[in-house]
Amino acid sequence: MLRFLLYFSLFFLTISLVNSCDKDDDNNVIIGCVDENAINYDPAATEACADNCCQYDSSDNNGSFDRVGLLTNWVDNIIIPKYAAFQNNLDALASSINFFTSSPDTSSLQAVSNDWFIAYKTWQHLQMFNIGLAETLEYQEKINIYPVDLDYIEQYINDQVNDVNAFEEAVQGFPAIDYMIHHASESDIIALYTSNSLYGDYLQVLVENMISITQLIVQDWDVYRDEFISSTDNTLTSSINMIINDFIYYYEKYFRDGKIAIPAGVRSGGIPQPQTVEAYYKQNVSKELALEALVACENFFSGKYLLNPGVTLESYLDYLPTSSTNNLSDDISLKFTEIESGLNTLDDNFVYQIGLSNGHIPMVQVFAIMQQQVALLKTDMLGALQIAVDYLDTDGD
Amino acid sequence: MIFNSNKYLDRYTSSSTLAVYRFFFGLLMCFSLVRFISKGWVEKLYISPDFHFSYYLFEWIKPLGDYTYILFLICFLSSFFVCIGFKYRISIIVFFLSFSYIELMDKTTYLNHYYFISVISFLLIFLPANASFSIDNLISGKSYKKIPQWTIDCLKLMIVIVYFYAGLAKLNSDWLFEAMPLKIWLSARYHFPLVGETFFQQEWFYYFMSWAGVMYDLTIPFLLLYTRTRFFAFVMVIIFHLLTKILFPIGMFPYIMIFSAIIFFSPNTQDRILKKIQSIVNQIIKVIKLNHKLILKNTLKDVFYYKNQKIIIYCFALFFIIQLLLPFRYILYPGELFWHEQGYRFSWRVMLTEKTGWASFKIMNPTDGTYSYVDNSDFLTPFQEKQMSFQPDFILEYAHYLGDHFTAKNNTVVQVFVDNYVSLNGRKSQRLVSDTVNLYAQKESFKHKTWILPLNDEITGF
Repeated sequence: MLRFLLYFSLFFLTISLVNSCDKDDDNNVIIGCVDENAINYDPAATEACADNCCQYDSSDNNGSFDRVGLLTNWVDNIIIPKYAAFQNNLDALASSINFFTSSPDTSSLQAVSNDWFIAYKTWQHLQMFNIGLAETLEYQEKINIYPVDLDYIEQYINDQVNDVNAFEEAVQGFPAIDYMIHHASESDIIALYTSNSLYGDYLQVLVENMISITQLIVQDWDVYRDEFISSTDNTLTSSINMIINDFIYYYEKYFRDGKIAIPAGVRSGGIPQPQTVEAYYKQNVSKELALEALVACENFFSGKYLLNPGVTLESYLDYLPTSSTNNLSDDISLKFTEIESGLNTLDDNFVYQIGLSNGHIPMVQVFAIMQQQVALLKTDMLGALQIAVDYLDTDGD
Repeated sequence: MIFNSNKYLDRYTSSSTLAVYRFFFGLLMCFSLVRFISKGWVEKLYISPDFHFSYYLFEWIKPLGDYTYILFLICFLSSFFVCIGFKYRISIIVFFLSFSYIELMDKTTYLNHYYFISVISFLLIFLPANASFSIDNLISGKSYKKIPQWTIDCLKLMIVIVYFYAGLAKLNSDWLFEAMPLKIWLSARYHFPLVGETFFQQEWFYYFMSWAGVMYDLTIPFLLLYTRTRFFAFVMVIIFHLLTKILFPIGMFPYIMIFSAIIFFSPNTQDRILKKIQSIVNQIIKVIKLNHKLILKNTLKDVFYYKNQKIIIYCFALFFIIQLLLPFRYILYPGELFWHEQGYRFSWRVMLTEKTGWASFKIMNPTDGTYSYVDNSDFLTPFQEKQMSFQPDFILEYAHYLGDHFTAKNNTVVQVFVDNYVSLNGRKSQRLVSDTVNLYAQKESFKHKTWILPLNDEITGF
C-alpha cells in the first residue's frame, strides 16, 4: 500500500518535471507578453499577445502566494501603527479630560471634544480586528457600544465605580464619553461638572479604562504577532481565515448595520431609529465616522490609503484562479467607491438626515449598495478563497 | 449466450457473501452513529436549531427535541443487531426506518451517501443476510450454506448504478474542460504537506484529477465485476477513496464504499473472509472469558429458499427501474440543472459543483409599503444559512417560514422578497431567485419554479 503510494507520487513528480521543461520554440512568429514588468515577460516575443495575457504577481515567483506577507502587512502596516496612534490619541484625551475636570470652561471642554473625536476616528481602523486578546476581552464592546444606557450611566456615576470594563451594559467607551460631554449645551455641561465632581470622576474612569484595556491588547500583539503571521493554512482556526471572516462580520454588523441600516430603520420595519446613530450626542460627525470606517475597510482590502499598500487581499484575489479571471478585485474596489459616493449624498448629521421627511430613504439606498458589496464578499470572494463559514465542521459529499 | 431468467433465478451461491456484507454494513453503521453522536451533531444539527428544512411531502418528519437521542440510540442498537445478525429481519426494518427518519428530519444535511445507506438497507430487508454467521442461526438452530445468486447481484447492481451514474454526471463541460470544481478545491488546499504548493497549484493536475476521477467512476464497477481485474480494481477503490478522504471532509463515505466493494469478491474469498472474522470474534470471546465458543456447526440446511420469491423479484425489478430513471428526471425541467437544482438530489451527483451564495430577505408590508430586512442568524444556524443561500427550494421554504413569522408578528399578511446571489463553479455571482417575486405567495411543488432566473452561461453534458 505504502509502496504503491510512493510510486504514485514519483509518477506525478516525473510528469510535473517533464511538463515544466516542455517548451515549444520552433515558431517564427513568437506571440508573448511584451511588458517587462509582467512575470511572464517574454524577451523573445515578436508580437504582443491578447490584452490580458500578461500576468502580474506580487508574490514570489514560485507560483505560490506570499500569505505570510499578507498577514504581516495587516499587522505591521495597519494594526500595530494604528494601535500606537490610538494610544497617543487616548493619552491626549486623558490629559485634556484631566484639565477639563480641574477647570471646566468652554475651551477645556472643546479640547476634550476634539481629542475625543480624533481618537474615535482612529478607532474606526481598529474595530474590525476582533482577534486574539481583543476578542477574548470583548474589546470592541468596551470601546464602542451604543446606544448608551443612560440609567446605568447615572447610577454608576453616583456609585463612584472605578472599573467600567467589568460591566456588560452600554456605559463605557466613546459613546459614554459622547454622552458625558455632549448631551446638553456647553454651558449646561460646564455647570454640571462645576457643581458635581462625580461627573468628572466618571469621565476620568472612562478614559483610564480605555487606556488600560488598550494597553493589554497592544502588549499582547507583541507576543501574538509571530504566531499570527505564520498561521496561513486554510482551516477554520488559521489567522488568515479568521481575520477575513472577522472583516466580513465587521463589515456586516458594525459598518453596514451599526452605522447605516439600524438607524435607517432597515431592521425595524422601516421605522428610523435616530437614537442608534453613532456619536448620537455629538450628532454632526456621524458621516465623518462612517467615511473613516470605509477608509479602514479599503485599507484592509487593498491598502488604498496607505503609503505602502504591501501584499494585500486585492493582490491575493488577483492571484487566485477564479477571482482573477472574473476581475473580482476591480468589482469590489468599484463597489467601495460607490459606497463612498452614496455616503457623500447624506447629511453630515445622520440624526438630522433621518429626521427629514423621507430622509431615511437615501440611507436605505446606501444600505442597498453596501448589500451588493456583501454579495461580492460572501459569494465571490469567500468562494474564491475557499474559506468556510465560521464553526462549520459537518461532512460533505 | 441467451439470458435465461428462470435458470438465473435458480442459481445459488455461498451464503458467506451476504453474511460478510451484513457484518461490515452493521459494524460501519455502528461506527458512523457513534461518531455522529460524539461530535455533538445531534444537538447542533437537530436539537438546537429553531427551524428545520423539510423535504417536500415529508414535512411531517421533524426532529423530536431531546428524544432525538433516543431515535439515534434505536438506530444504533438496530445496526448493532444487524451486525451480529440478531432478530435480523426486524432489526434491519427498524434500522431502515430510523435511519431514513433521521435523514428526512432536515434536508440541510442531505448527503448522497446517506441516501445510499437508506437504499441499501431497504434492499437488505428482503435479503437472507442472516442465512449464516448470525445469532439467529444459533437461536433457530438452522443455517444455510447457499442462497440465491440474485440476492447478491442486486446489491452489486446498486453499487454499479452509484458509480456509473456518478461518472455520467461528471461528463459535462465544467468538469472535463474547465476542471471545475476540482481546480478551486485543490488550489485552496495549499497547506497540504508536499503536494499543497506543488501539484495542487498546477493547471495540468486539475485536469488530470478530473479526467482520472471520471474514468474511475465509469470503469471501476466493471473492473470489479470481472474476475481478472478485480484485485487491481479493489486496490484502486482503496486508493481512490482514501485520497478523497484526505482531500475532502466526507466523513464515513470512503469507508462505506471500500467495504461495499468487498461484495464483488468470489464465494471462496468470502468464505475465507468469514473464517477470518469468525476467528477474530472467537479471540474476543476468549479475552472476555466467556465459556461459549462461536461455532456455527448447527444444523446446516443446504439451500435457502424464498417462499415468495416471485413477488420480491417483481418488486425489485420495479425498484431498479425507478433507480435507473430517477436521476434523469431533471430532463423534465428547463434550464441548467447545476444552477436550479430541480431534480438534483437522489441522483448520485457527487462533488460536482462548488456553490457559494448569499441571500438577504426583505419583509414588505403591502398596505403602506414599509419594509425591513431579516438578519438570517436570528432564525438559522450558519450551516443552514449556507445551504439555504444557493438552493431555491430552501429559499422558498425559508421565505414561507419568515412570512408566517412576520405575518403573525405584524398582524398583517406580509410579502417576502429575496436579494440572492450565487456563484457556481467559479463563475461570477449572479441572481438565482428573482428579487421581484413575492415568495410568500409561491407554492412548493414538483413543477418548474418559474421565479428562478436562468444561468448566464451554458454547461453541456449529462
